[in-house]
Amino acid sequence: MQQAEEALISMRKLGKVFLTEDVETHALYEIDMELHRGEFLSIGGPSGCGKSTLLSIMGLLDSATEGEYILKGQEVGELSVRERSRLRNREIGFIFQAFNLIGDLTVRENVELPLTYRGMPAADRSQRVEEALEKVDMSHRMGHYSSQLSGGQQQRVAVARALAGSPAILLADEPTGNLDSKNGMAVMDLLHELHGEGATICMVTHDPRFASFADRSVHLFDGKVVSAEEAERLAKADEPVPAAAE
Amino acid sequence: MTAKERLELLQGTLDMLILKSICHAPMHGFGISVRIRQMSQEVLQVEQGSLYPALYRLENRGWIKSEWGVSDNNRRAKFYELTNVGQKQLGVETANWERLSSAINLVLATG
Amino acid sequence: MWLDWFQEAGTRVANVFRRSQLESEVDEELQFHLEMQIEQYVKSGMSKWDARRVALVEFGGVDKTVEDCRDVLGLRLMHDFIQDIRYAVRVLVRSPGFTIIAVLTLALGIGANTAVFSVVNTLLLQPLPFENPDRIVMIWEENPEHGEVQEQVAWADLQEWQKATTSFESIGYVVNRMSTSRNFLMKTDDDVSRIRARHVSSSLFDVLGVPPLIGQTLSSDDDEPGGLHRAVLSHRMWTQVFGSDPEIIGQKLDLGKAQPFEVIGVMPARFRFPQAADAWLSVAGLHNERWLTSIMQSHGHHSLWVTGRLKAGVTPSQAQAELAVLQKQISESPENQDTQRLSSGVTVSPLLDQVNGSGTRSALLLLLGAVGFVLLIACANVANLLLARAISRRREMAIRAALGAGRLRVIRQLLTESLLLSLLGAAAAVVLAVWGIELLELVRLDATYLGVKEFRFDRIGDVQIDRGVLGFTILVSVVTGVLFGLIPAVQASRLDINSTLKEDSRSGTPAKAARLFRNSLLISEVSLALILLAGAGLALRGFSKMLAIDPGVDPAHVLKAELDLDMAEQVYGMKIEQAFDEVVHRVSALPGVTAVSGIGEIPVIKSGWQDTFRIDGPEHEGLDNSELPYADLRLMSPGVFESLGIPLLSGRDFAETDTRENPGVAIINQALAEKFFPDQDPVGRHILFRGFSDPKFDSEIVGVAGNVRNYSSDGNDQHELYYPFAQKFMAGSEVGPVILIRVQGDTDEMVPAIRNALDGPDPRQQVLIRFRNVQDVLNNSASQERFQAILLGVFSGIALLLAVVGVYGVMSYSTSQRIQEVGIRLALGAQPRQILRTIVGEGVALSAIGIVIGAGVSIGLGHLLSKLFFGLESTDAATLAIVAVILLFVSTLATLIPAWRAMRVDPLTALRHE
Repeated sequence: MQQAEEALISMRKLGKVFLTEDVETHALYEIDMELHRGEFLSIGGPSGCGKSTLLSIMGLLDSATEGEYILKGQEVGELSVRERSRLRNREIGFIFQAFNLIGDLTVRENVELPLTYRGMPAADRSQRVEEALEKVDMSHRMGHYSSQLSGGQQQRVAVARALAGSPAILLADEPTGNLDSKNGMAVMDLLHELHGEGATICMVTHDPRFASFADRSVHLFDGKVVSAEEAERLAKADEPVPAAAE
Repeated sequence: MTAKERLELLQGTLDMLILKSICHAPMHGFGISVRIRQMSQEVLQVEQGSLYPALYRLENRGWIKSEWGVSDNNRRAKFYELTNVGQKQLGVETANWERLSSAINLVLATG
Repeated sequence: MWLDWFQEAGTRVANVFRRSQLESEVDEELQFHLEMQIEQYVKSGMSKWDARRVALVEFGGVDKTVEDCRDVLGLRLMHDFIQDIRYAVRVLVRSPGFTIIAVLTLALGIGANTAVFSVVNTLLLQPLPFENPDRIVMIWEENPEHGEVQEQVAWADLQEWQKATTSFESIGYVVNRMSTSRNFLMKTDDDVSRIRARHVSSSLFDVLGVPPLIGQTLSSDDDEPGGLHRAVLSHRMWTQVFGSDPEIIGQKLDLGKAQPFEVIGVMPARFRFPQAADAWLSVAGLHNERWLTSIMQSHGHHSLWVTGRLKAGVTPSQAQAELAVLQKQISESPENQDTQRLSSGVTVSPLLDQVNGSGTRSALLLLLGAVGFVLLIACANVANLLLARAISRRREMAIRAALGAGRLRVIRQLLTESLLLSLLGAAAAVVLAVWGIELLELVRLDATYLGVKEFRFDRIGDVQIDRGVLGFTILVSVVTGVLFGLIPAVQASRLDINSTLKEDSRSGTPAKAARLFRNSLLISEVSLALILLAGAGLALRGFSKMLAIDPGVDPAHVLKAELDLDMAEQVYGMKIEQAFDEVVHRVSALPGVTAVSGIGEIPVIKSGWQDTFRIDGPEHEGLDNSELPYADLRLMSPGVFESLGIPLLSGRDFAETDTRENPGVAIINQALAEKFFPDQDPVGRHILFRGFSDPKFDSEIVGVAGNVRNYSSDGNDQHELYYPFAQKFMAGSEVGPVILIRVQGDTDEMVPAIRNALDGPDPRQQVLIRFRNVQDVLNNSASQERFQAILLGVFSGIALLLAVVGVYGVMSYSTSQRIQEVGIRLALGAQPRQILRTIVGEGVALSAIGIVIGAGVSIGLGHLLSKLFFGLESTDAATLAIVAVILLFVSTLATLIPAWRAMRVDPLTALRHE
């Protein structure tokens, strides 16, 4: 009990079942997992193992069909759409593989977006946006349209956007997936630095080099949590070269 | 772009040669090819593959007109004849060509 | 350069249609070339076999040459074209929803144009059925100082013009005097029938230039007093009354005159002048020789409708200038100074204007403009649809381009699709237009015309979709197809193949330019719709303002019918005056009838009888005739004010005792009383109408009646002067009396009972004809405004519908393009209703810009519009505001659906679908 209260996120027997053409597919099966404040967790596994689904459930973009998910002491499954939106806005910062910046908005407007949805006054917003962009070293590009930026720059802006609302947890879904290794490494350095400053991060990646930045790694296979050794064995058997994607 | 220009230049030259070859009397396609070869003292050989499309093009432009007639050896053949517009065009083309070739000669001479 | 190109293109198109012949010619020519080559080689000593082989090798690919020649010949174009069409058909069939919406939209736009154009075509563009009709004019006299415009021409005036004019080839006339010179009872051996005939000059047939079908037309001797009584029959009369009797020439018509009229000819069916004439009679048959001779010398008897054929090259205004000089001489000539009703001026106007009536042209042009707007909106809508599709078809276009299709080829493919769409739209439009024309006939233009009703050929019944209209429709649809298809096609062709192919299916940010274009289309649609709605609003307000005019009568339960005096005389065997009394007597006795009376013409219609009057007292003492004021005169029986519900403000109505034996009496209307008897009671004063110049007609004013207006009055009340029939009955009345019957309950239901009580045993023996409800007559005076209000209402309704569909289309498309963006926003914690607000906000902002622009243009065009909508304030802020609110409201509704859909986007799918 003591532990559960301390954990930022805690999952018990969490499962996700898709119904497709009368066949039940278990995307996730009996996941037990905890994430503590200040932790940097990486989730690995081959594509299709359910890691992105898990991250979506964590980020309240999706809901589990079984088990329980407690975020900051709240059972999430019972929340209304409105509450979930609010929670997502305040407690969670997303970093996507495809950056997902809005092309028609400027860098500043993109970063400002979560704060706007929170109903924050303009003066506060502007200060927060500047701080966040400062942190990712993008404040000189504030007035640019995101479509004018390079991939690495876009991802840095996306990190700033995730940070701007000071969420309890940053969720990163393959944040380096669309970047070359140099830019990928820069983004990882940024996450590492944020972690050093106390941020809680949960990152999905299949790249062991980046996974090593995390305090702890969880491996998924076929929707189940497996040990690191077993993951490696299964990967070799099933997927020839998971690490070759440099 | 450049390839297209080159093509047009060649086309234009062929057009001029055709117009020139029929400026005195109507002629059929084969006769034109023979005449161009003779006039150029066997230097220029016009392929039928470019001759006939060129003839149709010139006819479409109204520079030459065609009529079916009977050849020397009593065969049905299509004869081409210069129109008034074609006559003028031949003049224009010839003048252009002379300007161009003398210009090129000048360039080549200053070597 | 351009000429060459055109010539080449022209030949290519022509070649397309001679395709197979040309293909075989190419083959034959190449065959000939090859054989000549072989022959040459054989001559130079090769074996036949070798010669053939060498020649063939040298000759190269024959197929390629044939192909090249064909290409030059435009055969390729044809193949491509067929391919384009086949593909376009497949594309349209594959997306039936899009096709149906686009075709319906275009059908509305093109159909409205076709319908209105078909009316314009018939009424304004098609020539009248006469020889060189553009040279035929109508000639009227005028006396502007006394408010007389388009007055009939006096006999002697015409004779003097004819002597001096050089502008006309010929001038003819139609006599328009008493009803007894228009309506005749024709007696045959066993039958009596009513016919409408006109006494016309022999030259009328020359002016109109239509030869007779059988026999001959009148000759100039027939125009002279003492000439022969002769008649030319209309085609209708010849076929219907005489059963197309080939022996008709020489037969005698008994029209109840001293002498019968001899039939000398039959006109063809197209000859209708005036509209309702069964026969044309010689002027000599109008009256006896003495009477005719004297009236022909009069400058004051305005009895003629005059029409003339201009000499080639002479314009109506030149002719008018010439006649004006002649008429000025007449009016200033000392010997004519005592003539009553002398005209001072002349107007000459094309016959076509007369036929259509004054407002028709502007009304139709206005409608043409309105449907043009509707078409533009339809174009904008379809362009938007195409643009949306073009973007979703970018991958297809990129693949085509990667496979080597030229940019023009891609544009051509897309344009073929748009043209196919617009032609389909045109086909549907023709169906719509047929209904549209029926609608037009329902609200047919039936206004009070400035011109003479009899010349207004009822041509709206002739409106049809003929070859000209079809040509117009096809032209419009092709222009439309290019208009809405070109920009989307160009935009679709202008893409970076590489990036498009690499692009993942969520297709990133849509091209900014495309979005800008779509938004501006939406804005212009909304602004066009606003302008139309504002116009319709103005027309509607104008119409309702008219209906709000207090006519001063209570017309709902009053029937109006014309009394056929000739028939009454015949049926009752009485003289005119007794016959009238008999009618009143019989109708009054019917149950349900509360009042019966007779009047020359009801006050809501102009009396057509105006002249000066003089009141006793110092004001008019010693005034010259030309300085006296004018009034409209009406003769009536007692009880008219009661029948029509006109209040008597002072004094009394006419009474049975107001007969010739007793002193003359008159009633004036309020307008005349206020103007000439300010602050005093006119009852007891005396008034003398110049039409009754005999001093014994000096009448005492016995009453003042309320003013009467119709809906097209401009607010200035006419001066009206009423006299009793019994005292003035035949003293120069040119108008047959109208009987007014006030009933309890429905007026139409009373008609059979009235007929039953009045008519003779033969069903054709109708004493009262043309029954009408007075309310309808009154309503008719607003019919032009009604016509405009209804049609503009319909068209702006269509415009509103199309604009709403457009707003919906643009918003739902742009929303669908932004699913990913919405997903991001939701992932960042946006509340769904914030998404809703964002999208609705955007739609509303665009509509608002459109509304502001449209309002600006409306205000800018206000001056022009106010000219078209008679007598309206140019910019009516209230109308504009109402219309803007409606448009804003409706377009907000239109954005709600896509916005609601966006609100329900599942962020996970939006962010991930790959």
